[in-house]
Amino acid sequence: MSAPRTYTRDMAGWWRRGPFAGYLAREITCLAVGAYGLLLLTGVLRLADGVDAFARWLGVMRSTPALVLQAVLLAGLAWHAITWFLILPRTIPPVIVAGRRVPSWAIQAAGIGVALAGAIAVVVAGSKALAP
Amino acid sequence: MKPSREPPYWLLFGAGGMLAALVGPGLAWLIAFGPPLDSARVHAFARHPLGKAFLFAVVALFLWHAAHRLYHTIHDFGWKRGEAEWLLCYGVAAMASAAAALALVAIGF
Repeated sequence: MSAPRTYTRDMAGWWRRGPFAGYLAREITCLAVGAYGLLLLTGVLRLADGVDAFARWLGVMRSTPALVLQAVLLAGLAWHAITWFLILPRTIPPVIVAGRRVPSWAIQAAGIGVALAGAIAVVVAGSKALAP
Repeated sequence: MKPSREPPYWLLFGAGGMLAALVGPGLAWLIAFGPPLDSARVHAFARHPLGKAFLFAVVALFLWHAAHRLYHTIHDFGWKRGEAEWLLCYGVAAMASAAAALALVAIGF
């Protein structure tokens, strides 16, 4: 007996079609988050080698190839932050305030606002506390 | 039914995604394009318990987030996942977490 021949829709190149491209662009930001985590790990390891070793690491991070890499990762991290809050209304339970469900756009806007505030806070606090 | 081993990984994924959304772009901008950091001050930050907690959380949670999301995204590409893929994703996150913890203890207090 031969195997039943059922119709299977071709899935080749699905990620280039319609909403899937946006889905992929969102999920793939995990590579930027992971790569940046590993990059910071190398900095933490240099910190354990002492102040001078870490100063050299900071110098390497300002070299042109490292800056290009960090610019790419920064774009990925920013896209991660934006999309993270764009899907938040679908990943958390409904938020009820004063008996009414908070609309998705309000959660998204508030989240992206908080992400922007977080980025500014890290840059300002870091510049004040960690730069000479 | 076998209990799912997903919940703890999903929590780490969520915590890492939130932390990366809040501090990731700021950290990347600060280190690459901000005013040059003073290595002695960063070292002092890493000796403080709160500084250690922050650095550990960033390294570990970023990697657990990436591991979980990558493991699920490769499935969407029709990749047949086995133990090797699971170990590669979550194993890297576990080893990076351990390395960060050891280094932060070695830095001293």
